[in-house]
Amino acid sequence: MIRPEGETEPLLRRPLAVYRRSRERTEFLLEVVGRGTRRLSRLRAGDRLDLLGPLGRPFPAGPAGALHLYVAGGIGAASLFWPARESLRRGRRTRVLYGARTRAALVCAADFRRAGIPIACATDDGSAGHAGFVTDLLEAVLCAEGRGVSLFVCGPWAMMARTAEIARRFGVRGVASIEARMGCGMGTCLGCAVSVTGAPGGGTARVCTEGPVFDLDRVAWS
Amino acid sequence: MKGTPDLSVRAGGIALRNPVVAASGTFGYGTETHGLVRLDRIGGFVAKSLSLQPRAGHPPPRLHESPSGMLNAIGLENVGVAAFLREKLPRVARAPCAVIASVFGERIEEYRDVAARLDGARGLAGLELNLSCPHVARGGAEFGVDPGMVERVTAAVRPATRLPLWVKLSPHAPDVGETARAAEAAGADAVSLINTIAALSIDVRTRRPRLKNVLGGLSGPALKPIAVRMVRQAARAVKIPVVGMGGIATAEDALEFVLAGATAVQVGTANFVDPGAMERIARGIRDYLADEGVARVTDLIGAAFR
Repeated sequence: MIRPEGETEPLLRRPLAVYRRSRERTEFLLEVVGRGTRRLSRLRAGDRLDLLGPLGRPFPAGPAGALHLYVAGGIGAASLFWPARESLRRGRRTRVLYGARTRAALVCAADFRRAGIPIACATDDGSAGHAGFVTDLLEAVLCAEGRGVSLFVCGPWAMMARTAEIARRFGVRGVASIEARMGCGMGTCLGCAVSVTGAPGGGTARVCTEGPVFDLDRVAWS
Repeated sequence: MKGTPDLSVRAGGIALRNPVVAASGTFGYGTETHGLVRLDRIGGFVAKSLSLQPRAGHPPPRLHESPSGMLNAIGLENVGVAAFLREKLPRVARAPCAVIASVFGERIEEYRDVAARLDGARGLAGLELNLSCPHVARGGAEFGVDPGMVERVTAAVRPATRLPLWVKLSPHAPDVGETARAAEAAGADAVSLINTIAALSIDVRTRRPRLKNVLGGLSGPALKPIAVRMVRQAARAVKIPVVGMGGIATAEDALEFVLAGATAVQVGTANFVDPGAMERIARGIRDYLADEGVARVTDLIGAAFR
């Protein structure tokens, strides 16, 4: 949960996934979608940030022996870069499917390639890779690979919902990282609830605490 | 002035090491702050409001930021009083600060039944009645809007418990002085105010309300001048202590409320932004007292109007 130090407007911190880490730096990659992200995008070197974290459930290591298939939509790729790199480092067969509106929006593609992770792209306007949706690529991969695939998904809600439906159809399992507007980010305010299936006590879970990573079949996508 | 300033207060029968208390709904059940809040540096906390049965709360989206504030429509999601007593309270029963349970109901009898179950529970310093709940039998109007209803709920709960009883007033009452008096007459040990103010936010892109529940409660700094005004009105109306809240983020904010007549304050939304807020506020109050040569924070209660 991040905010510029000492600033009170916008009021709330913004939740961001860690994009990349090294001994000297921790990097966040964000898309400007509103006041909070716009403010963060205008920070300059030397400005101070107030960080609260790490919070929530991260991506699991995933099963050995399966293809680790990362399905990224838009800025969702920012949540998947580091886990994908970790899958590769652990010796898993790892691939990324990365969709965005247009070539310029595939901002993480070069980093995936530099990390040595096989990647296939899709763009709505056909300016790079497959002309269409990343879920088209997903179906093609699952047709070819069968059930020995573990999915790691992050992107727009509709894309994740479609991915979950495809996964169910092909009988493969996976996890998705959900985005939600958050109050505290720590589990106390109950503001970031997402509807889930099969939860005890009434059908919602806290994205900040029980998530942001959920089993694909646990989220009530529609 | 000799020695360090005295921050201790006694608010409606509850002894607090300092006047800073976490507001209900912003501190879970006291166990969720990841060790980021030192319970031995705050006066206490009010836990999430409890109903007789567990409640799932409203469907998402439940939260939206607004200028200097936020709207919430959590829907009083809670584990229910039985699970609270069994699983939550034991974990904080020995907390080094006052642990206060919040009570609500959809009917007067439910308030009484929840309070009765909490009576005598080990580790509880007091109860706060949340009257900003829609009264199901009266078409959804808040209990706290009408002084007669405030009196009836308080009078129903009072004999059910020997615990100190704070009555949390609704800001939607036409006259909080009247509702404060009604609570006092029925045996409240203190009144606390304000709860959130009903609000609405519309997304112009989707042309729909942002919250699934449509209406939400506004909290945060935007509320503060309204809350200070209402605290002053309540403090003028009753002899029992007033606990003030509404947008407190700094020690100065807290002192405004004290000067208006509050014996203690609650901090809510600020806890989301800065888990260290309450500790910082308590420290700031102490520094103010030291700088101004005031021996006790209680010396300042209502001082803006004396």
